[in-house]
Amino acid sequence: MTIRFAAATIHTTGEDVDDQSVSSQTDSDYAEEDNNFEDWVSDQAQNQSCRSLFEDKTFPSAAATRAHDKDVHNFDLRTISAKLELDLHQRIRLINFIRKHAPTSEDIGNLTGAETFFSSDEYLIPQIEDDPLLQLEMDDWSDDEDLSSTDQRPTPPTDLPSALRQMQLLERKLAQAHRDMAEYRSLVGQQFDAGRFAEIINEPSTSSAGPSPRDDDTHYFSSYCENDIHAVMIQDKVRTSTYASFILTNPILFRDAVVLDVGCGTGILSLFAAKSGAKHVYAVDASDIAEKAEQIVKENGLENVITVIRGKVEEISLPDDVEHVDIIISEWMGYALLYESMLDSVLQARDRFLKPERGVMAPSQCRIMFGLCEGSEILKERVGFWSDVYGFDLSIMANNVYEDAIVDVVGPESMASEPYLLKDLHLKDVTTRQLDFTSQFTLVSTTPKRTKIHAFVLYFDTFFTTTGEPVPPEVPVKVTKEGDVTLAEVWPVGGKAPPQRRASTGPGLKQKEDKRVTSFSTGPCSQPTHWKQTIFLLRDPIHAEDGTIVTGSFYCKKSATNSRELDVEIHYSVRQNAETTAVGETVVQIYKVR
Amino acid sequence: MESAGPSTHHIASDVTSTHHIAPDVTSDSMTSRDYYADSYAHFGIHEEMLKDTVRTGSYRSAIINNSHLFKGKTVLDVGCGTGILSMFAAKAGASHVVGIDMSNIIDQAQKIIEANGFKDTITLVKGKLEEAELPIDKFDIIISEWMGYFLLYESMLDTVLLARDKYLKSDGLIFPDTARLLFAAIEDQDYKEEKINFWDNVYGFDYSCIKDIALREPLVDTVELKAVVTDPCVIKEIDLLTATKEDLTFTAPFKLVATRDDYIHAFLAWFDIVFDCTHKKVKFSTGPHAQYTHWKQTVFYTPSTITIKEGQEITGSLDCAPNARNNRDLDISISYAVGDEDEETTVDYKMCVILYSCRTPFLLQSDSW
Repeated sequence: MTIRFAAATIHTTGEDVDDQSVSSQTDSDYAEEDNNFEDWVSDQAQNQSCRSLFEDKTFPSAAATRAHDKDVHNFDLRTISAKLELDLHQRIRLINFIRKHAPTSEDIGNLTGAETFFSSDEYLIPQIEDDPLLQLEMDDWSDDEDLSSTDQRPTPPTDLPSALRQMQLLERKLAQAHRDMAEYRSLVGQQFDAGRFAEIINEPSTSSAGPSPRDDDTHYFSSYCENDIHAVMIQDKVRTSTYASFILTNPILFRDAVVLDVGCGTGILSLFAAKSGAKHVYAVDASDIAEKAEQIVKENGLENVITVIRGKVEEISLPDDVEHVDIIISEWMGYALLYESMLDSVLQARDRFLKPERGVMAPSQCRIMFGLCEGSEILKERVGFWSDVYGFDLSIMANNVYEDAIVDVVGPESMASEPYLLKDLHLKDVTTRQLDFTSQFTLVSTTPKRTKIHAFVLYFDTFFTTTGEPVPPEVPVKVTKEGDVTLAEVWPVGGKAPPQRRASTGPGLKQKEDKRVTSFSTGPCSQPTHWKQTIFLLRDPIHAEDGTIVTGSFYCKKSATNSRELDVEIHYSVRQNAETTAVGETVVQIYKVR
Repeated sequence: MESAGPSTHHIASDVTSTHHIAPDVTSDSMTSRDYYADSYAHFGIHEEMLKDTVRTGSYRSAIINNSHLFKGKTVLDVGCGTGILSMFAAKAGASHVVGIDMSNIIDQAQKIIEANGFKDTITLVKGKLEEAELPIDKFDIIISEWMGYFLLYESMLDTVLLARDKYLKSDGLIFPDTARLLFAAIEDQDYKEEKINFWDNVYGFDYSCIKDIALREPLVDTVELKAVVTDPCVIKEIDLLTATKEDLTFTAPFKLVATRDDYIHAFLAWFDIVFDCTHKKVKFSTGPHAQYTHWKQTVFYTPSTITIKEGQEITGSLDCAPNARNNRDLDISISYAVGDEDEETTVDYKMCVILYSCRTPFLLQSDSW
């Protein structure tokens, strides 16, 4: 969806319609709410002075304003939203309507919800710049949750036929659950063989069996059982060769180190670590592939060095005599870096197992980069195609194109700005909380002539350092060009084993190693990786020329419906160049990365 | 192939939109499997199918160029997907078209037929054919694009046969009405090296335990004509007007005659589709000699290389059956002997459920890596 606002940066927000608290809200409730913004790192708007809706009085915060309006004017947005069943945008319109026309609270009480201003775009425009009442709850910036919360409490049937229908529906679901359960049992009773990997997704349906913890993992882990996925990942040369290069060319770091490999897959990184002299490697994976990893370790005669542990890293334990590990290696990166959220597990592993002093995370740093993308090719392919399919108009099929981020490769020529560092993640101290983030960005167009910009592009750069410390900002990422020879010195050419490296621990080498930075980019200028790039198509293109400035903010958080997916919201506005102060309207677009 | 067939999967409504959550699946209980189970609601698949010009173009010729067969007739579109075949039929003059699909894509199809002015001619029904109530009792014509990889993998053919028995008039027509499965042997040293023997040496490590599994998973891939070493051989012919569900479990003997001296690394299967009832027979092939289709061909690697001389024969048989535990999977076993040798080799293959995830588009293109 796209929402447009006039020239003022605002955040789409909404207030939670929470039936239970409608009549019993007290000041302490508000206080609690104020502490309730953990989903976003940025919460700068929360303690901002705010004017009452009904008189010219200003209060130190939105919560205080609301409390005042409720006590003195008997106006509570929650109550009225619930009464009139207002959605996010209607709530925004209501606030702006009150600001503009200053009705009394009695007038508001007489509203029916059908007034024309509830559907007028005019009232999406805030009457007060940065109106704090429009910035209530940062984690509620799209109206999905309102819908889902009503879904969780389906309206009770009011007449007999619909009650019967509902009963039938529930009965059918129960019967299906029974069938699924029987299937599941017979499945569990049989011995798994490797060819049956995919079957573990046949878990029983739980939707009719009452609430149960959501399982975002089963599909996730079983999807990693397919050999094909591993072939693709191993054959992604940029990825694997960078890991190989870091591990194999830093024997001083790895010699006699205890290493933990989180999400080891087929175990390739563990094998590298063992080759590089690790004292012991613990390779952990929750998927069935762990069995294969174990077999592979054995066949390579490394079972004394590598121990494969099947399980979630949050739940496993290391042998009693191993308190800490020296290095954690992991290839946890997903599309748009954070899709799949495997980083959460890696950070837990860090907190549980990594040596507090001088422990090294590999990789040690990831930078999320953001830029303007010309994108007309992708647009033609994903949108233009549908407008004439064998003479029929299927353009409805393109509607969702703007709601889902697209994972695809764009060439270097499509970059229309310098990349902007959106988020710098230092693996040694980043916390899970910080993975839901808000970042401001400023992009300056570099297109020589007037061009339509159809998209934003996002990618990430990954860095490895031998100290685990982040690299200074001026250190550039290594960009592997198409056709570059990667890692000639350790690459097994034609199946021959790599040459043995001389064992040398001279201080000179040690010093040299300390400064060495290994890195790779998944950007448009690099040889494509299996991560490709993540593209956010714009409903309306930006008309840019050299020097056009696009500023805005980028919100990213885990999806409420599937924690391995991401919800992204981009707010932006355009200035023709640095001299103009006239800022264009603010455009908001919401995406899912899935 | 679109889906109207029986399925054990739990279907979540409207996975494509973030703003409407299915009333019968609360967001809390929604697993990621719910999102993927209904993979046909993901647009990528429809895009791929519509962009397959051989597929869609052949159906269009078969329908639009045979308006004499469609004029004033009632038509049932089984697994209608985005509704493109229904619209062809309506354009060809059908008096009424009913499209049925159990996937959520049908919600989009409804908007599409309205946008194209077919609201009154086409009725769309969401649901399984076995359970749905259709507005018309008997139809003159059934149209369906039911074919899967290897013709039968995840195919909707049993649903089409069910539709025929329940809804087709006795003199009715089925588009298409004939399908043939073909078989040959290929020289495939380079790809076998990349796909199978790759596991022998991964960055200097021995991964051969994965090789055995990889070998038993037939590979859906495009093969060049020049790789084919033998004459093709028809191993199964399906007449949709008479076939039964039982016919889909079969043992088919084959005899492949080499056309040159070469090495054989794999068997290859593909299918041809014929609209036999059309005026000028419309047909298309998914073979290595024909234009690319999204079905590509299916490659079955043999454990060892076969050395063959021109004129020499490979004889054997292919068994195909839905897997007893998961009938969406196919168990395929191939037994073969070369020339006069008595020694017979049997390999059991299994085509498994492919999980459609974000990674899939990449997997489909991975051969270019």
